[in-house]
Amino acid sequence: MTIIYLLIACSVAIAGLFLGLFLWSVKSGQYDDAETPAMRMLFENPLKPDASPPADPQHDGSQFQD
Amino acid sequence: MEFKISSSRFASAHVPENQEAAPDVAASCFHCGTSCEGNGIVSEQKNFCCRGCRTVYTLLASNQLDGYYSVADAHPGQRAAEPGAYAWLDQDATAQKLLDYRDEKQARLRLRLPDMHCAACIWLLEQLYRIQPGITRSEVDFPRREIDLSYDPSRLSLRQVVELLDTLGYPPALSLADTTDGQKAPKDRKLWYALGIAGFCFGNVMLLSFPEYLSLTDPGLAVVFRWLAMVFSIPVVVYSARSYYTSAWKGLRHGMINMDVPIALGILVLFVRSSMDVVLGWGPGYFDSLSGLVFFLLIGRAYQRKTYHLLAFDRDYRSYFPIAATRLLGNDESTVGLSDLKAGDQVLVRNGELIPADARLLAGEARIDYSFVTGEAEAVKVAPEAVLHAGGRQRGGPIRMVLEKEVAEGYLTRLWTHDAFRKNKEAEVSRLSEKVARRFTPAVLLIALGAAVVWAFIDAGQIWNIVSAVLIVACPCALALSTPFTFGHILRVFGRKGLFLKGPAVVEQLAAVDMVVFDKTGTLTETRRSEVSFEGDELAGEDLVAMRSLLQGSVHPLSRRLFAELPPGPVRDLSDFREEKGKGLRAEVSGRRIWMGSREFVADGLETDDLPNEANKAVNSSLVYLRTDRHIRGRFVIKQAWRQGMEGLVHDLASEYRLGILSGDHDGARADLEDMMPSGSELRFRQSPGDKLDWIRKLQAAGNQVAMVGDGLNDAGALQQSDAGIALTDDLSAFTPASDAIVRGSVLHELPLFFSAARKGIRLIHISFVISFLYNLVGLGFAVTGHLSPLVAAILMPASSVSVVLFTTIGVRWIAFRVWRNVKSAEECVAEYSPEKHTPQPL
Repeated sequence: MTIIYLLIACSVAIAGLFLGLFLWSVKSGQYDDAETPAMRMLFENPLKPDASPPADPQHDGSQFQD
Repeated sequence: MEFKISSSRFASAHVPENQEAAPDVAASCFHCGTSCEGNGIVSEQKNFCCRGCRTVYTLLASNQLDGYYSVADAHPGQRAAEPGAYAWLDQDATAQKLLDYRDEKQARLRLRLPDMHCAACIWLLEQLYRIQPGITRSEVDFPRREIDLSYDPSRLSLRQVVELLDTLGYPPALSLADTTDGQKAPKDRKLWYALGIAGFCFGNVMLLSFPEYLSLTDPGLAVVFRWLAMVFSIPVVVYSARSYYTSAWKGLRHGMINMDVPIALGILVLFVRSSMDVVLGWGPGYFDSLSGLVFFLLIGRAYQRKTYHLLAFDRDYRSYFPIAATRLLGNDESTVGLSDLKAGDQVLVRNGELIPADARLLAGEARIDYSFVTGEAEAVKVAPEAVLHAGGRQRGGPIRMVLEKEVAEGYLTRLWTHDAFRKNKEAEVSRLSEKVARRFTPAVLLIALGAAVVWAFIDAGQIWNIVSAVLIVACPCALALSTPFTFGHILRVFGRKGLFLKGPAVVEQLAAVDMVVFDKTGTLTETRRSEVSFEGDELAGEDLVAMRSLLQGSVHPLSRRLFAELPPGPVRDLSDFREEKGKGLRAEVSGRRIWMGSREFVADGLETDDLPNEANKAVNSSLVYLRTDRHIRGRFVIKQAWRQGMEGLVHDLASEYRLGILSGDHDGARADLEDMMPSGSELRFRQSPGDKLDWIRKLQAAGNQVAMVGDGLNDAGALQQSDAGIALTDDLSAFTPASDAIVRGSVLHELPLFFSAARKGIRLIHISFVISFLYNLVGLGFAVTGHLSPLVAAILMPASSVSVVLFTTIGVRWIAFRVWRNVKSAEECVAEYSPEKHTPQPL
């Protein structure tokens, strides 16, 4: 039955990983505004391939960073 | 013939094609959609009404952003403000207050853009970096109508950013409150964290408890599982449930036993008892019930927390006042922040601008529109040296004034420092559940005590077990869930129907109301949309030009109303202009003589008798006759516009509520109102904002539960003082005074339905209380007899919660369905209650 300890450890680790992901998503602001992203995802990509936003020094690619 | 005036009909049907200086008369601007009559510009086969619109189009097109026009519903663009309007943003001190963050490389700020209204707006605003490379990032928060943007201050100034937004048709809402509040309310994510952690722990504890339920464990494993469950419960007790302790402690310190007291007590007893069980090896403990309880309670709390980001319920005068004003030093004009203005400064106020502080008029023709401040519908003409009150809006040319007081000391702003605003209305605390908690907690403690005494005689060793079991099972989980879920549902239903509540407790306030008081101007009447119709000959484009020219020179309210009704277009010079007070206007426009005014005035010098008969005049309306040269062309009927459906509203309310009217206006409408309101209603006219507040207070002292419905700053005190202050707005992004609820103008006539639904909702909560009491009784039965095993607790607790939540969910839906089943639209109400009053008789 010692295998049960390993199983518990695994399940807690996996659940903990998801908890961590959830906390990260809250922290990064994904729960602040549930409406805009739903509309944003429907837009076409930029028409010109080179028209991507310039790199933002303070926001390393993560547009949700606060 | 008879027709109702609307800009589009005039523009399309009644303007002949042969007017001069109009390249394409029927065309509307490609960008903003207004008529291009008179001075249109054609560019790239597209019509533009002005250079500004063409500039915006070119700007968008040159950046490959003209896809905007295919995403946008119609022509959402707007005209840009005049140059220099944002000059004051160049001041460092002001800019600093608006910015959230700034260093040499980047600056960040959030701006409210009330004009964004669709997906295309989001799209355009998030592509700003392609129009202006100095903007490094822009992100829209649509529910809040906010944009969060970063820009490079070395390449761009704040003023340029704001001007760019303005040019694109999104003038940012910048008010005094933005600069004085400093920090905007931080986003509240605590509940999410607490909920996530509680859910995680709950899931794991449940898994670990299952072997125990099924009695499958060997003794060694069981101990490990129990200890693990205890470890998982610690974050729930220490972190997730923290808000219940603080709330309970706060209540106790104020001498109140609120619903959170028995909850906090239950959680703590659960944890202590369970830990003792595990540590001392007595049993498995109740960790499953504990984590489940907290998790469910937090879900209830999250559900109740429906907020309307777009609306602000606690705005004060600072949200109404602008940030800056134009100060005059000698001949120098400079724009200074409102907070920097001092008594004695000379200030210039242009057409449409607000008077920033109480002042004395020096020069210029002041016609001040105090409608939002005092409720007076008509603009007031002010003599030189007279006092101007802060908050009035100038209508007419620029005026100069010298400030007598600082902004914060004005007549209006003083009203805001009144006690009514300091009084904490405790809108967050539900009085109903508090009332229950006040009896519930002592009852539980008594039962626990009684059980302890009885068990002292039976088996003294069991006392702790019994007492803790009583406290555990009495933890009012279902009770505490029934209010947030019911209120949460009601908040959502009401929001969908057009009434937005500040918080759940407002439902109770609405249900308790027994008297409804209305403001008149802007609430019962609709100032901006009094109905104008014309009866008579068909009017040609030239007639419209002549009328516009004539009306433009007059400030009489009827002239202003008619002028506003006419479609915009060119204006000619007048000669021989005469305005006779109380009679009418006449002048010569491009060789034609034109009269507008009363029947006698217009008919002067004509020997005709073919004038429409005055007897046909409808109630509540004014008539303006139109004559060009020797022909009476017809008459305008201007109805004092009661908001649609008001008769129906009054009729519906009168059976159950006392009614009252508080008007800042003169009593010209008294007769009509007395006609409309049931006998016994209180009508008060010429009420200052302070009078309104005092009167509400008097009514409350006489034992009335008063709901106040108002829209202006002048109602602010009364709204705040009343038991349920309902602010009315036709435009949700517009300023509304501090209130408990905000209602859309279009559903005001459904107010009785909202009241009735609120009352039914409260009844629903009462029933769900009974249900959860029954569960508690059953649980107590187990507890006092010493049979509360963890399994019984683990079944009882979720069963009671789930059944109560289901009951309230279905109940509220049923109520909403029943109440709104036979709802009529405002138009139907009008038709039902006054078929003849509201349609001018055709000739």
